[in-house]
Amino acid sequence: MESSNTLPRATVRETAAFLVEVFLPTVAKGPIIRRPRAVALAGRLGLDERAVRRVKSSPANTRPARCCCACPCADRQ
Amino acid sequence: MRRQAVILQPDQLHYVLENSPDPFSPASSEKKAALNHFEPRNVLISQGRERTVRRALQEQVLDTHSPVHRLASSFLPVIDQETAQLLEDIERTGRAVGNTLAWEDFISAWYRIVRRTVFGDHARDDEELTHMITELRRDGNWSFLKPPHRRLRARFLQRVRDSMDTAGPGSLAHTLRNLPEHKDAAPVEQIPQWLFAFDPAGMAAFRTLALLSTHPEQQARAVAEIREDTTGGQQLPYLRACVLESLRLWSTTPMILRQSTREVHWPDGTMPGNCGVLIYTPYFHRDEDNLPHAHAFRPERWLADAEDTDWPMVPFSEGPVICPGRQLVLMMTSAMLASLLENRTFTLASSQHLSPKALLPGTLDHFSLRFTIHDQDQGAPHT
Repeated sequence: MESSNTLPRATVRETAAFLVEVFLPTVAKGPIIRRPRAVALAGRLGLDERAVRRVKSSPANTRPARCCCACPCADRQ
Repeated sequence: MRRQAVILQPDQLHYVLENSPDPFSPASSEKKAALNHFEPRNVLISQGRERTVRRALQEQVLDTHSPVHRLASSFLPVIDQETAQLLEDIERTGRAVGNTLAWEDFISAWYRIVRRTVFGDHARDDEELTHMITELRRDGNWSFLKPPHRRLRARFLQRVRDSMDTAGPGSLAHTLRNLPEHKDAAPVEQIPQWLFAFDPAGMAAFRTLALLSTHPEQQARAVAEIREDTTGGQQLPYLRACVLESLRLWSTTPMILRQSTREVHWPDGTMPGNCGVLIYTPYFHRDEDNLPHAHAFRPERWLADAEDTDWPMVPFSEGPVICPGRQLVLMMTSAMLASLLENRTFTLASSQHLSPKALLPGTLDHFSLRFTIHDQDQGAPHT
């Protein structure tokens, strides 16, 4: 079935900001087992606070209107 | 290319989690690659019939729908014994430098509890097993970026199988072993997830201790609950709420991952099949615009009779793929906290700034938490 419209798409800049400020620090802390040094660093630099601020300020997040932002991401399979 | 969606609205979060595993499968590509390092046939990365069978197995063994696990009378004495041993060891060795509880002591005791709960008393000191899964989980952190260590994985899974085969009555693995066999169930590979997930449960318990030791009002209420408890630690609703609140403040699963199994139509567009879906839980859990006192320790929010908001708080996820061990984890962590706080008080001795008067920080480094222990009638420690 042909879809008529796709979800709102994040810009390259928004995608990069999400990767750098949300995804990477979270993955660096260790999703399956925590890395002590990365956790300490996140605390010292306030990376978790910054990640929440980044998602909150996402341009797609003009409540209550838009849904998801979609960004290109390499398929891992 | 796989497209990746980020969930930003509460109704969409609920929609995704309520519609898992189909069309929002928990078996996302990166999760498959991560867990493949130590449990390739685990329920979390299974699909279709196999997932259904493995999920049923998990729910049966973990007693998912019961707030008090049917083996509570086996598990709770283990928690009391190991906590008493932990405190005794600290007090025996710590006289000269003061009695201090550090993460390493706490997590060692917690792992002894976990091994006894999962396999029975004979596994109490099987630290080798814990080391093996720790090493494999370190590889798991790299997901698809690192090839699986097949030999170590095979040795580890064989050891899990051996421990299951000799598991004592009153343990999870014993229950698992005695369930009717199903060819798709892969029982051995359901166990590593327990050994894995009890680690973040320990983190949550230790952080809860930090919250209670810095929040006198909540501590007083917790201690009152412990003193008045007539259930032998089975039902400690306030302490359970404290653990939930710790998990809300510092998510141990900050990224809930799903992947669409087919096209999904949303009001503002169509999500393609095979699209990653990411829920970044701290964004919802720490939203002061929508959640009152989002940066404060308020366990009572988990005890409210009626939810006055549908704002998501999903420390164990929700819907059909909710963590099947949720109740067991809450029972065990609250019981351990009760054992610790029964006759002792704990003062935070490390430098984290936790206070009812200040916003709680976005990160709480559990590795560096340290407490001074003193008898309850002794008052504040001399510093």
